[in-house]
Amino acid sequence: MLRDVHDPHVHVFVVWEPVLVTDWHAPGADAVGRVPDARATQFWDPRHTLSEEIQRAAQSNQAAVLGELRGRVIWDFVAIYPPGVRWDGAFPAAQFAGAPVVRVIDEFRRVLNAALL
Amino acid sequence: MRGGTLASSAAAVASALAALSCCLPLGPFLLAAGSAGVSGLFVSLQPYLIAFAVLMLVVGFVQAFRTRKCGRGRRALNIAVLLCSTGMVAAMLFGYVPASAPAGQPAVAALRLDSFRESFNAAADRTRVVVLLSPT
Repeated sequence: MLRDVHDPHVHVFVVWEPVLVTDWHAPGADAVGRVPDARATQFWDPRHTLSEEIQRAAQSNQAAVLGELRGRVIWDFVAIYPPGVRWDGAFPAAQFAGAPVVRVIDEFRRVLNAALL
Repeated sequence: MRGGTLASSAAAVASALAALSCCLPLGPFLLAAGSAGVSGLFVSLQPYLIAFAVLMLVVGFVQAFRTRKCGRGRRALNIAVLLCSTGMVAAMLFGYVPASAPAGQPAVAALRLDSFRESFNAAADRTRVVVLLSPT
C-alpha cells in the first residue's frame, strides 16, 4: 500500500479487529509484519471500538465517512484524511473512503498521490 | 473459531473422562477449557474469561493435589488433564497479546478511543490513512 509512496508526510493507522471466525487471537507477527513501514502505527481493536465510532459518524454523513461501505462491522476499509482534518466531535469525513481494499486500492493510490503533491 | 472448536472438543473429551472417575478435577477443567474456548468467540469478554480460566486452573490444581483418595494412576490422569487445560489457557493468553511491531513502529497497542483520537489529531499536520483489517 505504501510501497510506492515515499513522502514522509503521511501517517498510517492500521487497526486490526476480529471479524472472521479465524480471528480468535490478536494479530500475530505475520499480520503486523505485512505493514513494516515506519510511518505506520498499528492497533488491536478486539471490541470494534473504532468501527462503532465510525458507524456512529456515518449515520449523519454516510457517503463522506464511509463511502459506499455497508455492514455491521467496518473492515477491509481504507480512508484518507488530508492535513488539517481533526477529530473533535464525531469521527471526521474522509477525503477518500472505500472497501474492500483490494477493489479500491488503485483509486486509493491515485487519491493519496494527488493529496501528497 | 479453531480455538473455540478445539476447546469444545477438549471439553467433550473431558466429559467422557468425567464418567471414568469422580476424582478428576473436571469442574475446573471444563470451566477453564470452556472459558478459554469461548473467549475466542466472545472477544469483548476475553480478558474476563481468560482470568476466569486461570482461576479455574488454580482451583483444579488445588483440588487435584488435595484429593487423597485417588490412586496413583488417577492422580497422574488428574495432572495430565490439568496440564492440557493449562496448555489451552496458555494458548489463549498468548493469542491475547499482539505481536511485536516491526522495527521503527511503536508497539502494537490495544485500541483505546481517546488515545487513538489523540494520535490522529497529533498527526493533523500530515495526510493520514486509516485502515481497518482482519488479522486473518
